[in-house]
Amino acid sequence: MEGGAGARGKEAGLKAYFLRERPMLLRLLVARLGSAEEAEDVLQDVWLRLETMTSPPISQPGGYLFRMANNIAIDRRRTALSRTRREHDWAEACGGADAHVPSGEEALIVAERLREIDAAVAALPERTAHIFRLYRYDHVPRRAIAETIGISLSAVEKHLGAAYRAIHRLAATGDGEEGGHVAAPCAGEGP
Amino acid sequence: MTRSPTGYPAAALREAIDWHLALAEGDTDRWHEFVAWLEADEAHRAAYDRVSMDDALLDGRRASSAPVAMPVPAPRVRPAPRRIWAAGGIVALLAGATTLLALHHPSAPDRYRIESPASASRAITLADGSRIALNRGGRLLLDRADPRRVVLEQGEAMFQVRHDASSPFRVEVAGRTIEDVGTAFNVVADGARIEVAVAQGAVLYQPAGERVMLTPGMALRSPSPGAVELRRVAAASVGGWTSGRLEFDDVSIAEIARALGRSLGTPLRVAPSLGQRRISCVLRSDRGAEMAIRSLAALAGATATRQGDGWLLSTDGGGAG
Repeated sequence: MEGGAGARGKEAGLKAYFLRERPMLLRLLVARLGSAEEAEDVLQDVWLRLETMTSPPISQPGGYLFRMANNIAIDRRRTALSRTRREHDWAEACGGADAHVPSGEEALIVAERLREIDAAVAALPERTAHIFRLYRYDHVPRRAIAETIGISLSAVEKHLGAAYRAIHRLAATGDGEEGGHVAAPCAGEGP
Repeated sequence: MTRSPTGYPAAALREAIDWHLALAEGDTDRWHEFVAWLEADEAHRAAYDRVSMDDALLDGRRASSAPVAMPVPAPRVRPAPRRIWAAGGIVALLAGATTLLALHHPSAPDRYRIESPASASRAITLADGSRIALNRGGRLLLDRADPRRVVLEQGEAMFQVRHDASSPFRVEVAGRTIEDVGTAFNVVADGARIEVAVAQGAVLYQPAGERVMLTPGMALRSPSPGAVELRRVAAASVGGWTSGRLEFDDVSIAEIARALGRSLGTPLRVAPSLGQRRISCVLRSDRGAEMAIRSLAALAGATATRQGDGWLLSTDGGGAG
């Protein structure tokens, strides 16, 4: 916008936001990680990132902060998973000589789950699969997908919802479960 | 309670998926609602964890079926924008809205040119915060009245664009148009030949013509209008010249020499016998022209000799035999 002062103002704004939203951020992290100690740790991490950030490109500071905290929480869980995977790979490479290395069961579960997800995406209607890959693998913003393909934003969101439901082996329509929250079949996007 | 085949309560899983999608663009209020939802039920927490962790597994994956020319509806208007500032104006083609923008007269006082000498690259920040790094020997035509339009007349530029769906950023290059639908991309103008590569987000090549969507790690080469070749590059390597690091993966020596020459500001010619050989390498352009050129020569098994204002790479030069 208007140079350095403006950017500094934004950063200060983000920190002010953090302080204001801290209790809610903590609740989010406790719910996600199941540990108050680890949640505090992540909050510390968020604050450090705010300290070192140079140019926050932010239109919604609140959403940005919550996303950052949630992503760090996800990263922590992933790190734990990939550590297990690395140990597994190491054990494989060494012919399993390292007796204290975990079984690698976790890593096998991950690989198996990825295969399942790939299969679920491959089985989707072509357009749904294409939209999902653009969104999830190529990080194309939803609006850009809508504009490029020439469908509405909500149609893109319906395709994405359908893709995720397929990945989680939920029927495409509300198949009788309680509270069939969104019945969003993906068949077409209108005329 | 109905359970999904994966053993999670189906309703919780459905809601978790909806949250997962909503939160990507959610504001503070949305996140507050989400926290309340998470706290309400252990099944919610488990379902969201499942959905988000599964999704995180997909990070770093790439679409194997790269989105080449997408099956898109025919553009509503097909202008022939020969030159962006010439008569006819510019037609913005978005699925939702067809906008006809004001025509810029070629002598409009708001237009200005930025050139970089052979001795240095330049960094430019536009009024909307978008940034352009212009490699040595490059030339850009800009417009104060419309910072979302840029003409790359010559050379190479890396664009870090502030995305705004309502006002797409466009680069006009050798009669072709590139429209940003994301963030960071590199463009080369070399006569009629152009190259586009995407580091982040996406760009649309020829939004009113071929409409090829390029996503991170895709590079497009167009030797002449209407001709398009696509290939994959490492997304992280796109625009590497801005940090003095040029990465090539199975690229012809002729092409490497052109890219290196742009970044060194030194013409680098290649003997025809050598030009079509393909190699993979990483070259530093920030440690002096001679060192970079001699590195390339060594990697190519060639000899580098000074020739006029530049260098020549050849297999039979007078030297290392």
